[in-house]
Amino acid sequence: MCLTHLQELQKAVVTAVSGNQELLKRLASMGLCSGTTVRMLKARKKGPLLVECKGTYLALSYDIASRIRLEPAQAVL
Amino acid sequence: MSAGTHVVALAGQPNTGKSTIFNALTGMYQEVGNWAGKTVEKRTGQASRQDGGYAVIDLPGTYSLDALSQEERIAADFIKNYSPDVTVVVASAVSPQRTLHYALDVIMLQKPMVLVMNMADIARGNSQHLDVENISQKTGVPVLLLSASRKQELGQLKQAIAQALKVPPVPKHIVPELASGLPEGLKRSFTALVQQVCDVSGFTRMRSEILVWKAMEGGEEERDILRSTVGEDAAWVQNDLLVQPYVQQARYGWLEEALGTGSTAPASSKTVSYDRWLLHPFAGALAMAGILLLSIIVGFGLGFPLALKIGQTSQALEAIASAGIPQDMIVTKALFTGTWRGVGAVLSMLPFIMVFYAVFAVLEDIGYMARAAFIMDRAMTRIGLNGKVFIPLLFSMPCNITGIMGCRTIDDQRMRKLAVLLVPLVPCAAKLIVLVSLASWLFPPLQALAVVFSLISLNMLILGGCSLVFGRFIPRQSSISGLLMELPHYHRPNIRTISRQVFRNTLAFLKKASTLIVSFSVIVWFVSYYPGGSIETSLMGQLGKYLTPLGAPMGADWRLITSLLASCISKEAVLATMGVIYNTPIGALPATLKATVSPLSAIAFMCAQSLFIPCIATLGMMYNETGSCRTLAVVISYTILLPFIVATAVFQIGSMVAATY
Repeated sequence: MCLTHLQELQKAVVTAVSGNQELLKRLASMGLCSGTTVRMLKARKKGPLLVECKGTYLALSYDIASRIRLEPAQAVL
Repeated sequence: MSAGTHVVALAGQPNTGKSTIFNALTGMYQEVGNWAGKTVEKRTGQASRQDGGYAVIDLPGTYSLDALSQEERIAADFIKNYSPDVTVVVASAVSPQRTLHYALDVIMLQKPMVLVMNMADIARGNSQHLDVENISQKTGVPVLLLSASRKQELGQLKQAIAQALKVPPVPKHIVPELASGLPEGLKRSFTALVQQVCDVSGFTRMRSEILVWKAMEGGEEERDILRSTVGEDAAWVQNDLLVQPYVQQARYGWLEEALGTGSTAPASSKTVSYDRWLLHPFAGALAMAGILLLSIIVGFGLGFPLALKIGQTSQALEAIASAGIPQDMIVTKALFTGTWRGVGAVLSMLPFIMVFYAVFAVLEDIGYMARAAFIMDRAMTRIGLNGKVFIPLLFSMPCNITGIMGCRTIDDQRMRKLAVLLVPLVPCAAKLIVLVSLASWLFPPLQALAVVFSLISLNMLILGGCSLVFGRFIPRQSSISGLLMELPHYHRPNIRTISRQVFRNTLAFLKKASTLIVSFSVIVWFVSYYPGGSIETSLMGQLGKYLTPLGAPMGADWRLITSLLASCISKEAVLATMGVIYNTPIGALPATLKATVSPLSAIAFMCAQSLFIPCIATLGMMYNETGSCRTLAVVISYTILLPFIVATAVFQIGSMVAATY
C-alpha cells in the first residue's frame, strides 16, 4: 500500500521509500524512514497530505507521498 | 570578536526554539550579516561580560548536517573546520526523536558539545517524560531540559556553557553502538570494511568507524576517501537503496533506547485538534481568508493614517526647509529635494511595513504561517509553484523588498528563482494606495470597489500566467518535486521573539531601502526638474512626450506616461508627480483628474501602474539576493512590456465595448 491510500486517522508502518538519495535523507532527517509509524491527519485527493510521525507533523506533496510504501497497522479511533 | 574570546556555536533543527535561545544568550549585542559569499543569513552575538563575554554564532537551522544544501554545508563546515569551543545543540522535547537525529550528526563530529532539550513546558503539558540522565549517559555530554521562553530557566544553560568552556565535554564515540543495530549481514560487512580501512590507511579504529558509517549514510566526502583507500571493496556502501534504510533505522533505534518510553507525543495533542479545523478543506480556507483579510485591515488601518501623517509633515517641513535655497542653485536644490523626498518616502512606508511585520511575525511565531502554506499548496501547484512560495509572495504585499528577502526561506532553488521573478507582480502597499486613491477619486464608491477588486484579480491571474510561462524556461533540477515541510506545534506567541523579529526586519529594510531609495530619488528628481525647473520641460517630461505615440493605444497622454515613469523611484511618488504635472495642489487633484481623464483611460492607467516595473529599491534588492544581471534584465523587460500590453488590451477592448452600446 502507498501512503496516498492511507485513510485519515489511520496508522501504518513505512516499509520503503523510493526515490533518490537526497529525498531519502531529507525524509529521514525529518523523522520519516522505513520502520516509522505514520498517522494520516489530513488526506485530500491529489492535494498535499499531512502526516504525523515521531511527534512531528509533516506536510508532503502527493508526488512525494506516492513514493512511500506502507504496511497497514491497526486502525485508530 | 577579539582574539582569545571563546566561541560558542548554536546548532539545531528548525522549530526547536533556537532563535529564542540565541536572543536570550546574547541580549542586545547582535549582528546580522551574510555568510561569506552566500545569501544565507549569519547571526552573531556576544554574551554579557558577567556570563563570560563569549561570542555566539547562530548556525543556519537545518534538518541535518548532510551538506545537501548551502545552509547545511555552512553549518557542517563551521563545526568541523572552525572548531568552536562549544557547540550547543538545540533539540525539542516535544519531538525528541526527530530533533535528536540532528544531534547525532554533531556527536559524530566529536567536538565539544552541550545538548539542550527545549520546549520542556509544552512537553510537560503533553505528559511526555524525558530521561535526561539516560540521554546524557548515552551521549556523554551534559543534557539540559528547559523552556527557553522562560527567562529564569536560562540560568542553567549559561552555567552549563561556562562549565563546558572550562572542561570541554567531548561526546562519546557512538558508532559501535549504532552499528550494533544493523542487521547481521550488514553488521559483518561494516566490521570487515572498518578493519580493512584501519589496515590500509593507518587511521585509528574510531576514525575508520566514523568514516565508514558516514559513507554508509551517504557522505560524499567520506565515500571519496573510501574509494581512494580501499577502492572497489567499499562499493556496496554506495548502494543507497540497500544500506540507507537500515542505517536510518539503526539511528532511530539508538535514539529510542536513549529516550526510553514515555517520550513520544500523545495521539491527540492540542495541535491536532486545532488543525482539524484550521486545515479543513473548507473551514480552513475560510479561516485563512479571514485571518489574512484581518491582517490586511489591521495593516492598512493602522499603517495608512500614520503614513499620511508622516507624508504631510514631511511635505510641510520641506517647504520651510527649502525656502533658504536660492532658485538658481539647481544642483543643490535637486540634491536637497531628492534626498528629502527619498527619506520621506522611506519614512512614510515605515509604519505600514512595521505593522505588517508585526502581524506576520505573530502568525509565524504561533505556527500559523506554515499552515497557510499548506492550505495554499493546491492552488499554488496549479500555477507551477508550491505552498512554500506563498509566504514570500504574501510578504511582498507590504513591500516587495520584504518579499524578495523572504524568498531565502524557499529551499528549492528552482522555486526560489521563480518566486523572485514573480514578486513584482504582487501589488505592494504603495501601489495599492495609488490604486485605491485613484479609484475613489474617479468613480462612485461601489464602482470604485469593483474596479479595485477586478484589477487586483487581474493582477493575480497575470501572476499565475507568468508563473507558468517562466516555469517553462527554468529547468527542473530533481525529479521529485513538491511540498515537503514541517508544520510546527502551535504555541503561545512570545512577545520578546516577535518584537525582536520586527525590529530586526525593520532595521534591515531601512538599511537596504534607504540608501537605494534616497540615492536614486536624487537622480530621478534631477531628471524631472532639469532643464527648465519644471517637470514639463525636464528630461523626464520630454521622454514622456516622446513616448506619447506609445501611450495612445492605452489611452494615456504624456502626463499619464510621465507619471508612470516617475513611479519607478517609489510608487507613492505617482500621486505627487501627478500633482506637479497637472499643476494643481494635491487637494484639487481629484477634481482635475476627473475633468481631464476618461474613466477608461483611468482604468488602463491603474492597470499599467500596478504591473509596472518595481521600484528601484526592489530592483536593487533583487540584484543583492540573486547576484544575477540576467534576472534583473528579465524582470525589467517583462515589467515594462507587460503593463503596456495589458493596459492596451484593456483600453482597446473597453473602447470596443463602449462603442457597441
